[in-house]
Amino acid sequence: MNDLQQLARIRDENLRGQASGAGARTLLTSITGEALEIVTSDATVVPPTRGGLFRSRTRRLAAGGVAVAGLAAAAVIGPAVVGGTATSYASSAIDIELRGDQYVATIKDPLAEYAEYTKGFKAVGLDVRLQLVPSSPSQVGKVTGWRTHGHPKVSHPNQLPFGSGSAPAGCTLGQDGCAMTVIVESDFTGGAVVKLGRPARPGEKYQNRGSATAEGEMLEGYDPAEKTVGEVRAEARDRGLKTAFQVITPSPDYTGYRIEPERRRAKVGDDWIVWRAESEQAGVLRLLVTRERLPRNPTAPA
Amino acid sequence: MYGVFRSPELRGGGPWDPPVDDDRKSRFEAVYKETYERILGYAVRRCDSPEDAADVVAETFAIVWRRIDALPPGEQAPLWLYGVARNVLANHRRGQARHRHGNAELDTEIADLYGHSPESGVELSTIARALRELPDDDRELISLVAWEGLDHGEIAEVLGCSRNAVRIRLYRARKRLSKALAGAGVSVAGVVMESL
Repeated sequence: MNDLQQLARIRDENLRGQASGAGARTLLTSITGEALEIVTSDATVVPPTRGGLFRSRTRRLAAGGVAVAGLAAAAVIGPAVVGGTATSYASSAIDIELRGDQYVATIKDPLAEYAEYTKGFKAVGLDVRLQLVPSSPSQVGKVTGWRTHGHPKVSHPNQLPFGSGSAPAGCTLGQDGCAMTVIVESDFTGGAVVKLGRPARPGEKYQNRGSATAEGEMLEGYDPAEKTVGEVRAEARDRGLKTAFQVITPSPDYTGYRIEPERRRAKVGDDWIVWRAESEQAGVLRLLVTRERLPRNPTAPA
Repeated sequence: MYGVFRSPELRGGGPWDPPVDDDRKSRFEAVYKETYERILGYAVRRCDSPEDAADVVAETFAIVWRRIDALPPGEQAPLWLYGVARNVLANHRRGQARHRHGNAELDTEIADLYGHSPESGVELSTIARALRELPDDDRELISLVAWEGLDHGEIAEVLGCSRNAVRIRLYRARKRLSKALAGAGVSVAGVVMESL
């Protein structure tokens, strides 16, 4: 093996058997399940890089900007060392402290580079990559998604290894001096990517795909499902909201759906049917629609 | 079972005939099984995050499926797939194709692969840095040799250029890498590049 080969993260011979893994098999099925759309309709062939197979990616916007002042908070953390492993960390982006059997990470700068958070968790021996994503109001300060890898083990199998809160404890997020926190079980092993909702900047799109009808959201108290686009538009207008559309393609049994980014601008008529409303950004709803009424709401849980 | 999809209005296009033919599907499945691990390796070695690698793998095969009729036969097929993967990766890096596939199992499987750290050491990290700092085309050429184990003719297939062009470009890439290594104080003789 030469030096350059040693730089490879992994070598093909270490990947034997991967093709028969559950993920690989699911991918195969999901791709060939696309058959009718993909190979038979020239008019709707999806350009190679904008496949209908994929949900639009949630990813943070370019880094930069200043910290949201209302969320900046200073947490004073005393140094503590147990068995040679640091149990606390403090930087301008994040403070992490061991409290009992949990690490409590206080977000001091919600717009910091993700790497700044990673550095903090690494310092206390955790492989946690925290990503703060602009989220609709009801999801700010909440863990909007997480994924683990490397055979994580926690001592409380029935509990999620992650949680969120606010600091000082019990304060209301959005108020001065109240910061978001992320809580990680101290015996969490393995690695994780954790997404935490942060307030969006003006004009910034939300990256969570939250329902617009949840408490605290723009359409709270209104059920748009199965109403016509015209009806929902009227409600949105009354509330001073704009609407954007996402044409969806239901799965054959109507228990799921796909979205196709390039079809966002499709001409949607007032007689089309709305199945779900999501918060797109402050003042803008995203309506998931089909042209025809379906036997079942494909956005509802099966 | 896909009869319900026959709704031209929903698709905004014309009728969907002819239906998928089984030959096409079995051909895709065969090439998927044959090349999945190679494409996975290609993506994992080049993407900094497992999420990106999963996206590249998913998108590469989605494109192959759409263009299955263009898939060359036999030994050329994996090379053609490397070419597709290379384009997908380039689009990702340019920020033009930020899709997320919705396959949590795939994410987990690929994330596990990132637990294997490459060899470390002062000299290797210097080499890694020198490689990272090379122009993209140089780095890709060198990687295709060192990591995918391709020869000049195969690289020519992947890149869609002549074998001679590969030879010349590789010679120049290797020269630039040597220069960068010498600048970083790594003895070029100590870096084994015999396969280049």
